[in-house]
Amino acid sequence: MEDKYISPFLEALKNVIGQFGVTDIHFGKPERKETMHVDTDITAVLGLVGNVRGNVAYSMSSETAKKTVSAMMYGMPVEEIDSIARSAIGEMANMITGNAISSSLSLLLSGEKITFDITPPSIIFGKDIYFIISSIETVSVPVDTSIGRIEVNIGLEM
Amino acid sequence: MDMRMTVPFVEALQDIFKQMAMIEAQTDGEPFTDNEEVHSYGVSSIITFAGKIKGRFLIDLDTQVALQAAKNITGSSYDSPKEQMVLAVVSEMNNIISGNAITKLNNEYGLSLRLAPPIVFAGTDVIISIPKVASASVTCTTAYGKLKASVAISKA
Repeated sequence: MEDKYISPFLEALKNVIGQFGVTDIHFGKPERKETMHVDTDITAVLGLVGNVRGNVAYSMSSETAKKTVSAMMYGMPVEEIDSIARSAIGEMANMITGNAISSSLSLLLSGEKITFDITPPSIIFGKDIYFIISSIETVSVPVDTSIGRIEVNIGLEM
Repeated sequence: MDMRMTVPFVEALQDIFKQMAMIEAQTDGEPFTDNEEVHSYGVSSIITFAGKIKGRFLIDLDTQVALQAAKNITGSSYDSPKEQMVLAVVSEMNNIISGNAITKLNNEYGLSLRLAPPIVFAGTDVIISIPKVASASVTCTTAYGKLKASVAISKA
């Protein structure tokens, strides 16, 4: 997977969480790996099918998740990650991925009409989790923001 | 959710576990509506799909079942479900199981479903949640422990 396929997801993340009022968004250095180890609490993962095929996972601590959900709900305090909060995190993953594909990624693949579907997000909680989200490779980018770190993991097959 | 959707998955799961891993999985009973939160047994693999409907298929294995399947397939022993080869085996099994099941569903109901690549993970105290979508699960018993097959369908 080439680097140019990664930046649409990062730009989309910046756009989407920027709209919720999150600031100080800095992208870290991309890292390539086969297995992804997550030591934060929450991972939202969704799939893409079509002529872009793969999985994208967004990991964050529960503190960051609460702040994200709170920002999405205009500052309403969020005490725990309940079903509404989970739904909000899934929705955020949907928005970022949809945004990335429809805006920038389609330009990169110009000449080729992009047809794709985003599959429903799954939210995974737990500690010290080892993931494989792609049989080829996974590119993981840490993103530091005013509400904490969000790790973007991208495994596309193309 | 229509409980009939679980049938091709559970059949494929039993077939593939028997053929590939030489593990007999006996279903414990009828499919039941599962919680929005699923507590992982040890090693879990998710495949999502989209077409005229969207959804996800989850197989959830006791750690011992995953280790035994990896041993039977690769011929080597493993200590931890977090080893890459164990995860890769579970992921590939799910890929084959879901491929079989999706083909049946497409042929029977014309759903034009396509699969995303499998996700597999193992960790401590893992909870899997798929917001706003009801799921139907079937638990199975094997000689090495329990496994669960769970199907969740949402309208596209």
